[in-house]
Amino acid sequence: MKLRPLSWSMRFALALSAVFAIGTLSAGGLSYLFLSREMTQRLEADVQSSAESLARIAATGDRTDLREQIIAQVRSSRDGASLFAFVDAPSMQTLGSLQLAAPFEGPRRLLVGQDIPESELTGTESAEAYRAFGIRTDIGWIIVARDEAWVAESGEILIQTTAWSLILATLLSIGLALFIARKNERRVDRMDRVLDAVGAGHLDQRIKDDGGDDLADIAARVDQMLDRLEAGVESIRQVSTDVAHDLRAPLARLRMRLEPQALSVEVPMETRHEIGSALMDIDAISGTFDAILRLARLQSGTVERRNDPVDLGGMATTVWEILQAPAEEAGHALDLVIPSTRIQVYGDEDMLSQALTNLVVNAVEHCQPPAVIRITVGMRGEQPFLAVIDDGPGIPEADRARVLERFVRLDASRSVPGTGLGLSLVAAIADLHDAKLVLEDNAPGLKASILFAQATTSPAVLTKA
Amino acid sequence: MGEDHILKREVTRDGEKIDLQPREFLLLKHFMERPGRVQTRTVLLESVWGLHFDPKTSVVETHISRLRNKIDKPFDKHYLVTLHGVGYVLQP
Repeated sequence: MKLRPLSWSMRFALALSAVFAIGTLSAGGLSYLFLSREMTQRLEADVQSSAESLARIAATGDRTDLREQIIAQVRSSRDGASLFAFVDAPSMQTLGSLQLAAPFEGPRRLLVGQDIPESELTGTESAEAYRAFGIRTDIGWIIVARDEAWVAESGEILIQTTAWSLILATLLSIGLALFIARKNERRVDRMDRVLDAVGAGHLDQRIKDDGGDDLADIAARVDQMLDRLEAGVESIRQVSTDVAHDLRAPLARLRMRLEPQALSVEVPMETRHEIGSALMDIDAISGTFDAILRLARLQSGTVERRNDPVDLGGMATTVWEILQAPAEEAGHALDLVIPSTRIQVYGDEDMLSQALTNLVVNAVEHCQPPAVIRITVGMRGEQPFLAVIDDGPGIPEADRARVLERFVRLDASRSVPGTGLGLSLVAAIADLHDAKLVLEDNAPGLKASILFAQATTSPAVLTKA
Repeated sequence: MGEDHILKREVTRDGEKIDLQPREFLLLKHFMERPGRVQTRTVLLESVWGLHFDPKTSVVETHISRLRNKIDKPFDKHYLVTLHGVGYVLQP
């Protein structure tokens, strides 16, 4: 996967997880608040009703019954969760499990160690405070207190539950979000790759995303556009092929009618020369048409390609020998560098010679003399290559993909004669050999290589006997 | 035109020995086997260089001019003639 700034889907995923976490956290916080308030209220109501029921016994004036009730209640609450006290009115003597400095009426919160001496308590370690309610009756005060520990405990349980569910849910949501984001990222990556490939001229590439969402919709529309683009380019190609095909016959007839005139001794010398120039123009036109048709046949795969073992070094030597004279004539030096080992690929020697010739002729024509042009053969890793290297003007990187298209000629080379088909032809021949035409910067100059894929052409590297 | 010793790859004109490069020799041989007949560029490319495609460069022109410099230029009568726009012919 390509390294890029955090993708929109990843950001979306993380934001969603964050919102989810904040939501869970606030829900937990609110329930904690509500719960502890509700529990405290119930605690208060509890001690009040408990005190009131003892007060009803006190109202009968039966001190013995009250005493027995309180002793029974104290006994049933050994753990100290509930405390009871009866403070006799005239004597101010306290009966029960709660010792107070002074009796009181109504609700009150009693702190352990401050309002209640710690030594009084029997066994409750966790209690820090008690909720108490006091009632004044005719015979004395009745006070009931209950510790707050279970309110705090319930709160703690709630906090723990919330925390665990928050951690689990956050992990789950981040995991799910990352999964979805990665999936989307892969889809966006695929779109990226397809568009790159189309930009480089592979018009048959499609995204083919069947995700069934808005991204898939966009992908489908891009695919449709590519269909139309490919059809458009194909129809232009077809038209130029048709034109070339249809005009070849009349051109040939024209040539046949003019040629005898160019050769006839009865025609004045000057006219014959003019007709000769016309014939050369006709030949140039036919040459372009032939190249268009040849390219069309190569690209459509209808041309028969031989599959013989081709010795790249030997073939390069032949091409070098043939092109040396014209290169010298143009003021250039044409070198040949081949390895001592034999490098062999399977292919069509004629086609490969033409491809190499085109590359050399390109260099001859586009370089200002005197340039040094070198034909080389070698291995790049496992891949055999044929290359033409020059020290001329080169091709700007931005134009390298474009020059492989048919009829494309860069402004810098408008003055040089040519059809704009040479490199397209080389690329098509390379294609037929499962090879790639690679244009690179030679700083200065151009390095044009035909790089064979070892896997499919299975070149045999043999040591020369 | 003098005689041509194909086996020894020797060329003489008016008794003078002429040094030719291998392709120049093949080119001259091709013409001498077809005296007076016009040879087009395409035919020469196939026969002398074994090329089945047009290299779009002055292979033929260059060699014709080099050959002409050796076999015609030093002499009065010129045999190897360019027919503008058509091809070349070695006049008998």
